[in-house]
Amino acid sequence: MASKEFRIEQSFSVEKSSPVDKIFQWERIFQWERIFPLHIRESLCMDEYLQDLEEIRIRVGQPMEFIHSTGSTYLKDGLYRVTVQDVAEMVNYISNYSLYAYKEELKQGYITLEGGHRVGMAGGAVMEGGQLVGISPVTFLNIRVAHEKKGCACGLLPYICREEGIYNTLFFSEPGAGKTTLLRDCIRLLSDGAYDGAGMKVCVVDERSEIAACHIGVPQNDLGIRTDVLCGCAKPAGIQMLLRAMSPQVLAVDELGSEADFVAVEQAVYSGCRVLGTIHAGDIAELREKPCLSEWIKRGVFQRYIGIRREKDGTRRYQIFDAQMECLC
Amino acid sequence: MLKVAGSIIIVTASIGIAQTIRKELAEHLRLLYELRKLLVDIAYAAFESMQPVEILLGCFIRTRDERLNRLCKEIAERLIEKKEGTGEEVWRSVFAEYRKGLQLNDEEAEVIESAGSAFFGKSVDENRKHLSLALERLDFLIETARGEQKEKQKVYGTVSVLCGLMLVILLV
Repeated sequence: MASKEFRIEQSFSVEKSSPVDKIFQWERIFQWERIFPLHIRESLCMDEYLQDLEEIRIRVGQPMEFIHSTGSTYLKDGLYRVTVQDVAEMVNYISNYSLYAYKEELKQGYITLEGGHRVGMAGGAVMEGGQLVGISPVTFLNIRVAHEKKGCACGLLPYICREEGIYNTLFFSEPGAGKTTLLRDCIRLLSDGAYDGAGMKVCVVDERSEIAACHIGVPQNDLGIRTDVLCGCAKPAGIQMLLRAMSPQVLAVDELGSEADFVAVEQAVYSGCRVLGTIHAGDIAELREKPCLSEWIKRGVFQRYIGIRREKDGTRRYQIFDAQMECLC
Repeated sequence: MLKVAGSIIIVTASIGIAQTIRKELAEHLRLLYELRKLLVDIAYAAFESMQPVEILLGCFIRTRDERLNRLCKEIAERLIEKKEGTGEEVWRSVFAEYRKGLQLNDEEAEVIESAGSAFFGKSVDENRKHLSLALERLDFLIETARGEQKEKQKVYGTVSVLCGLMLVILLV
């Protein structure tokens, strides 16, 4: 009996999707000019402001400053002064008219936008019981434009990877030198299996949402196909949770600082999980002086320490050390 | 024979009119309840999920009334566009546009349009206070509408049937 062949035909209708339909689309491109008041938006289309843009500084009563890799420019040549209303309107736009939803971020002093851009805020601090609970009024804004440097960690992979997995690795540098950018690219490469083809399950505890830049729980940065992210959670609790729930092969954390962070990382290391982390330290001597780290250095908890230095021309130089703090290159 | 048929049609029509009016009043009351539920749903979702209103209205909040669903989507889209200075302005202007379609009277429209302050405040506490005020005012309107509904149903029903009967008498 002749078998019947069924042909499934799919019809695709092309519809114009509304902004609402794109809320959860990863590809949604954030139109960052939308966070500016209407009367400023038009002026922002000029290339002069957007080229190699790194930061936008907004200060009440002062001109709006655009910081590029080569220098600064000012809105309307510095003739326009930012008003209190401008900043209040911007805060409304930045928080999607829902400041209540960003309460925790505001306590930290920043809000992450779609696309991973970060808006730092300052102004009047609101304190409760000696604790900072918010900022009101917000009178200073710093918009840091997100830059993903894909491939910047390729050259480091041979020093991090070994036959079975990776070495526990700590990136260190002074603030702003690119630790998080490097960590992010390492995560992506390891997750995608860029080094040996075998990707690894990477879990990220992104306390300040700097690595993945999650917006509504969706990472805005590419962290690879095998990466799970827990954002907005304190590192010790996050590490514990991910170890129990997500069986990571590699655990990545940013900005280790408190003793509790170190204890949690140590637990992860002794749970069969490899760790990638970052820490603030100007050079290897400063790193040795860190009280929490000295014990680790003695016991060889981390096998690789990678120092990053930013040169005057913006390029980065790396120094790689082994567990005994011997310089490998 | 023709008079009898005419009389039947007139009586039927007057009963029909009375039914339609009754239905409209019930629909209006249902809409007010639906609006109340919408306010509570948004507030609950906002407090629970801590997501911005544009996400809640665009993706999660759904009502049984299709007009309100369209309205929610419209608010979400306008919030995403970010052309008005505050969220309350967006809420107010969209409700003002939909007011005719929703058949709200002046008082109801004012209460609903000002209810936006319950979702765009600086903190959850601020929103809660505005919400309780808005719900209180809306509850009062619902109570009034329920009272009016009963009275109007009786009046309209009686008047339309009597008018029908009068016409029948005139015809006969």
